[in-house]
Amino acid sequence: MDFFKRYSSIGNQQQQSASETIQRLADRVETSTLLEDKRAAVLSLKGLSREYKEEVGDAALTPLLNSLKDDSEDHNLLKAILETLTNLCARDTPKSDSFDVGGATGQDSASRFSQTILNDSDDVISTFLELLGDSDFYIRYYTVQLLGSLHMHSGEELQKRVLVSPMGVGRLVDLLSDQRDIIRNEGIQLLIAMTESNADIQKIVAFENAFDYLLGIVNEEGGTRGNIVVQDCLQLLHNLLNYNVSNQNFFRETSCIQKLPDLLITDPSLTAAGLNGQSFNDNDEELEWTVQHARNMLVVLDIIRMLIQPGNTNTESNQLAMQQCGIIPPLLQLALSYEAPSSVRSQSLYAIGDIIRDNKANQNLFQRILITASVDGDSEPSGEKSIPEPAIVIVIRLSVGKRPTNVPYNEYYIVRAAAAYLVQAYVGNNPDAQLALAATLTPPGDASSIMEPEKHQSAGSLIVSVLLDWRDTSHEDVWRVWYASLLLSTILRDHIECKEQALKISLGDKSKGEEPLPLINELMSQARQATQFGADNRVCISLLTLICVWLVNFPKGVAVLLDESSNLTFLVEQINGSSGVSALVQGVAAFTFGLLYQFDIDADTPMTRESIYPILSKRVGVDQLQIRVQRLRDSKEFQYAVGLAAGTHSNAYGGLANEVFIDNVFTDLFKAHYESFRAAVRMGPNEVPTNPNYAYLQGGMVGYAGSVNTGSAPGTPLMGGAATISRAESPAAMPAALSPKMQSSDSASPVVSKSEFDALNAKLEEQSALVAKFQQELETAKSVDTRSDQERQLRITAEAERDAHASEISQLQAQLSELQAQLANSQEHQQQSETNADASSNESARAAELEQQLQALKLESTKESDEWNKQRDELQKKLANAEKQIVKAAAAARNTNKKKEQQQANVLEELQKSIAEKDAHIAKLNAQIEELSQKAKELEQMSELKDRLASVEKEQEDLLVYLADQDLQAKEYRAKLRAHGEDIPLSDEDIDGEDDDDDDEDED
Amino acid sequence: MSSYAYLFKYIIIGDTGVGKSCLLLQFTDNRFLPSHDLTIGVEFGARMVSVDNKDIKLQIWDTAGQESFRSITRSYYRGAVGALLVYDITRRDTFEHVATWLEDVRKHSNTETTIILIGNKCDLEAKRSVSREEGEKFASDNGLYFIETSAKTANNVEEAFVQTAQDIYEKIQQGILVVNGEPSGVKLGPSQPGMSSMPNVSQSGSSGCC
Repeated sequence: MDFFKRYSSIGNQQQQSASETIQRLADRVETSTLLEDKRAAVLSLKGLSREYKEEVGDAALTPLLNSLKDDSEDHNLLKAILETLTNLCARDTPKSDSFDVGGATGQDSASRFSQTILNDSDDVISTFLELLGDSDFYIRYYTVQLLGSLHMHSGEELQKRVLVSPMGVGRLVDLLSDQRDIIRNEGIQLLIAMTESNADIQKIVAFENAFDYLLGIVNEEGGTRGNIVVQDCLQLLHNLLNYNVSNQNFFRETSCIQKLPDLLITDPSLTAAGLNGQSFNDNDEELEWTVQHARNMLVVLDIIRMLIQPGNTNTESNQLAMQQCGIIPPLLQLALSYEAPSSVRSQSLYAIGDIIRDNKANQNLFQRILITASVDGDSEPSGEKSIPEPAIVIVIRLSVGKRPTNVPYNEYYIVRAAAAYLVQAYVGNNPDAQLALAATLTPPGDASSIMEPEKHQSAGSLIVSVLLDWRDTSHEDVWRVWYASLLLSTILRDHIECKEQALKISLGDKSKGEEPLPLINELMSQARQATQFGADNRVCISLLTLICVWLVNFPKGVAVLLDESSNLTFLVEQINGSSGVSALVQGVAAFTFGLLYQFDIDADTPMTRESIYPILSKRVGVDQLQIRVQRLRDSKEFQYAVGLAAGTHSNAYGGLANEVFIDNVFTDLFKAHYESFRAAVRMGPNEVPTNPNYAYLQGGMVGYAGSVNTGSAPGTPLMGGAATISRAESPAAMPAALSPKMQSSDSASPVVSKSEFDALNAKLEEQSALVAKFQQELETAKSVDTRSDQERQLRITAEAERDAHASEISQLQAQLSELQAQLANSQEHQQQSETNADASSNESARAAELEQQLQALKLESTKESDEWNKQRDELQKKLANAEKQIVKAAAAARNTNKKKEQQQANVLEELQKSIAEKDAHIAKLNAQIEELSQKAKELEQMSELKDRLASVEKEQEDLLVYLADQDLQAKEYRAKLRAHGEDIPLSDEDIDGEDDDDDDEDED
Repeated sequence: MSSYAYLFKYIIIGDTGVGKSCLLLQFTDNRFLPSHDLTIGVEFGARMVSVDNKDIKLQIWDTAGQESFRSITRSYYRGAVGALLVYDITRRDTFEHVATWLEDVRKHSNTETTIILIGNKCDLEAKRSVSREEGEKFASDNGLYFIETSAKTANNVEEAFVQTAQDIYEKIQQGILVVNGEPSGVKLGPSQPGMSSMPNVSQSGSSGCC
């Protein structure tokens, strides 16, 4: 500080002395050996660097940079240098507009200094990058700031420099894990800037685990409810993935897609370890949508959509990954969230659409989703528990239903557009879904539907009711009827069954004596009323375009529509109207009229082409009709719709509501059908385009025309204009067309040449060789196996086939030789006639006669040659047939071989299996036998034992008898003894003892 | 779908045209493209392998061999835990450059990085100009694994990647490598996140639509 004080007294005087001072300070920095002096000089420069930016930079930049590289040990010095450099390179914040000139030069100098730093021969940038690894807060902080400024001035240059340093990008990414929020946030900013367009840096940043860091920070900061840091992190994530396939793969492979659903959940209690099973919070008013929340969410949604752009190679795997990690439910939640901004709801719907688009599995899963949540908070009285409804019905309701009262209709338009996009994504390339939706098309039912027009209606009846009630709905929101038309077009497009289904709908209550009115006529009448009542042109246009989509390739529909004569009148009025009719309405009406004429080929039509033709040619005029349609095609509204469908407009929300009049289903149809339409209206009523499609349409054959979504409808007849044959003329034209060919054939020489015959012969030989080969093959096949019956049968049929071919071929050969003989004959004839002719020149008397003869001969030979030609053709045909059959036979033979082998293998396998089974069985039986014999033995032993037991028992019995005798005897003895006067006690022991003795005696 | 015990980061390096991208393609997609465009910068690929009955996710960065991309590809050395250093057995110069490549890796990567030397195109035995023994010797002199592969026939391709994974796995078991360390190419697999099922929005099994 001493230095500063000393010099500052001089510096205060004038500008002149200020630069002098600065120069001296710069010299100090360069030459001082004492670190302290140097540090003081730098500090002084730092003090002056804001006010005298230019001077300080010019004088001191190089010394400062050198010092930075040399004195990296002194932290205080480093800090001061870095801060000075930061000041020098910082883009001035415009303090006051009065110093415009000064500001500009300041900007210039900052950019000049930046350039000097970047051009530093010693690569000071790598020094900066190393300093990023320094733990000191200020060193890191100023270095990041300085790099940020350098990037602002010449980003590409800095990116190149950073890429040269192997640790460079890694150091930058390390900033993301810095515990000090300020540095971390600065690091995020710098990385956002550097990853904007540099794919190499994007990849390295991703490699350095930036995905994990960023998602980690987002979670720490409260997810999408967090502050602007969250938005920055998401923005950086977006930069890393945008246009970078490698990183998108990496994102998926590191299971990052699985982390996206949590970001979508708006209720914090439901995230992560959220309380599963807890019912959805209805009163989440405290969770209001802030502007920041919406911004964050929109970036997340943008990232999701970026990963599944239609047509990308990774889209399918990403769609799968997203579906599997359960991203659709939270997206639906967002889309249906009454509180969410329309932009968020809209983007969520688009995202779901992109997840299921062209993905059969995801479309099917989406079909099964049921939702119980209330859609629009105010439209449903609380307490009434709603029945689960298919998600698709709810999405359709979003598109055509009432809008929340607090959202203006042009803002809610983006939600309707997105919902329609989702429906189209669901139905696209999914004819089953089309049919399923068409099946729900029903008239809106009884009077109760008026009271509660939106609840619990099927998808189809909802659409129909909106279409019919357009006077109520379009008054409030014209987009309701417009999108209802679009959705019905989407359901009907290119799908005959759906068109028929819809044609069955008729309105009017028979029980009340009302005449049933087919829906298609009702719609036409609604279109008429719309023009009469002066409704928004979109109502009439959308109804007529819907009718066009319905009528194309659908004569039945045309017949129904023509049943009501006022329909044609209405169209003619619109086409012919000279004032007060919109060009768009005129064009669409003209197109509708043309389709009616073109497809009026149903057998039961109430009004034939002949009767329409005068109206077309006289009242409207074919040219006028064409001009009206051309004008439609060239209108800016039509072109806007085409651009929108092709995605050339950058608008992500379904276009600008004010510009949208025509939908993409109609523009697709128009593009595919325009040429055919132009040709068709130029044809007379009796002319029928030569196109198989018409045959099938007239025949009433029904089958839906396969794919949708593609530009050209498969059912569309292709007409090259000239390819028409008038019905009346055709029989006469036939011979005329054939005659030139006959004339051209030279009458003198036979057309079938020898070489051709030879070629035919060769072919035949080839064929027979082939047959022989097959025979051989069959033979070998035969020898392979002789076991199974089935095989034998197959072989027999194959042989029969082969025999048939052989006989056919021999027949052909015979015919050929016959032909050859004929040829030889005719050649002889010719030669004869020629010599005759020669002779005739000498004898003039016989000349005329000869000439006549010659003529006759020539005629004959012509006839013959024609005959031959025919025969040759036939032969060739037969040959071709034979060839085909032989190929078939070969295939069959091969098949049989294969089958045989397989069968053999199968039989063998089966046999082996059965053997194994039997073996097992036998083993089992053996075991059983053994068991049984064991048992038998046991039984034997038992019976022996029993015998023994019996004998023992018998012995015992005998003994008992004996004992009883003995007892008796003993008693007798005792009685006798007592009688003799002896005193003997009646003790058992005595008796026992006697018994024992007896036993002993017995045993002995 | 994507649960795994560990995640290893690999790089593939070596001269241009030695078949680095083909090795990766063969490993990840089981495909071989005879004419592959020059790699621009770095390309990413991934596959799961199994070591010691544990699923290990390999993230592989295939680098451009051209000199002009050298500075960019170096940025990947530090974060990789496995390096596949590839030469072409039919082009001697690519083998002679191996020493330079090795020096480069050693300088910029972690000391624990497992390096495997790969002699590719071993299906072209007739055109061989680097013998197997030479490759083996260089590898053993420098403490590298060695294997000869053919990206065309898929011979040894799987082994090259798996053997490297095995070595890294052992280093983890022995504590030489620290999982989730900084900066390391090894990470633990994600804990399986519970399906965030939303009440009221359910996917019912029965087809309820329309």
